[in-house]
Amino acid sequence: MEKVKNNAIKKVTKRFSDFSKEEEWLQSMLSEGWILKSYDSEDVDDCQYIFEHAQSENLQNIFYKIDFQNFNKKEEFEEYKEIFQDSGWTILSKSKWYSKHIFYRTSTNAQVDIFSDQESYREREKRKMTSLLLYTGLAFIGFIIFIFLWIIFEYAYFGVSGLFLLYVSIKYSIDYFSHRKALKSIF
Amino acid sequence: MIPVNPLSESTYLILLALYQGPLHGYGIIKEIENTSEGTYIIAPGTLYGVLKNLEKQELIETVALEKEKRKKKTYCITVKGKGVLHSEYERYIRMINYSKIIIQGRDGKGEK
Repeated sequence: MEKVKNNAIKKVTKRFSDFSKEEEWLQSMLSEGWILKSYDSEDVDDCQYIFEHAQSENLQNIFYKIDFQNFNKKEEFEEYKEIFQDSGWTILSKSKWYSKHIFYRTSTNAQVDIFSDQESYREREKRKMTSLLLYTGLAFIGFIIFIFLWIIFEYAYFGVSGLFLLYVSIKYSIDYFSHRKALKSIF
Repeated sequence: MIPVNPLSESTYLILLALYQGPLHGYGIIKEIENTSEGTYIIAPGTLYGVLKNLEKQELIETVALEKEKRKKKTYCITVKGKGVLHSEYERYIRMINYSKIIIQGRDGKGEK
């Protein structure tokens, strides 16, 4: 789904179940001259990305990296943000309500990264998997409740809602397994 | 000593950086980079993840530094953390001594 508002701004709604693929896609948008300005904090559904047409000439030196981290307090996010900014990264997530954090920085070294060991990649997948498992479970519990309501009250509405939640639950579990696969591929 | 799983290299370096005194997040990265003369550079995502894990395991804790103008979260190593660091350090020494026997051949101390 792509919507071009005017020449300078592009909105894209997309869903990824792989951090590297998402980074690659952002990188490919960059090579077409689109630099990511913001994205929404929605973790459960598709993500809306807002790109701006880049004016800068050295786009090939910009690198995107993604982290996944949940925060309870505003201060935790502030500290997180500060550590990355001090290290030279620009953070695009805006508040503690974001779980997915997209960063970019300019560098002459293409190997530049927000992680310096393999363990960190494993931890990122594990954090994402914990979230997905929670969503899968919640959606599935919702499905059971609605099906019960449907059986008791025989309102078609309950049945439809129940089936929708089952669909959502399956969607998350597919994402979960895709991240588990990614986790297993890290050595 | 408490039996601990081998620490990851990043975890060890971060505990080591806090051994001398409290530091804030980015200060730890700089300390490791400076002291190791650029041999070890911890990336921010790795640092944050390790700090949270160490905090959970109570090997480090946050301290309030009143001197600082801006309230940056500062970490310091706990007694438990020092214990873990020491036993890990001793483990490294044992590994190195053993490796020396194999790789450099029997040393000239006449022990064997």
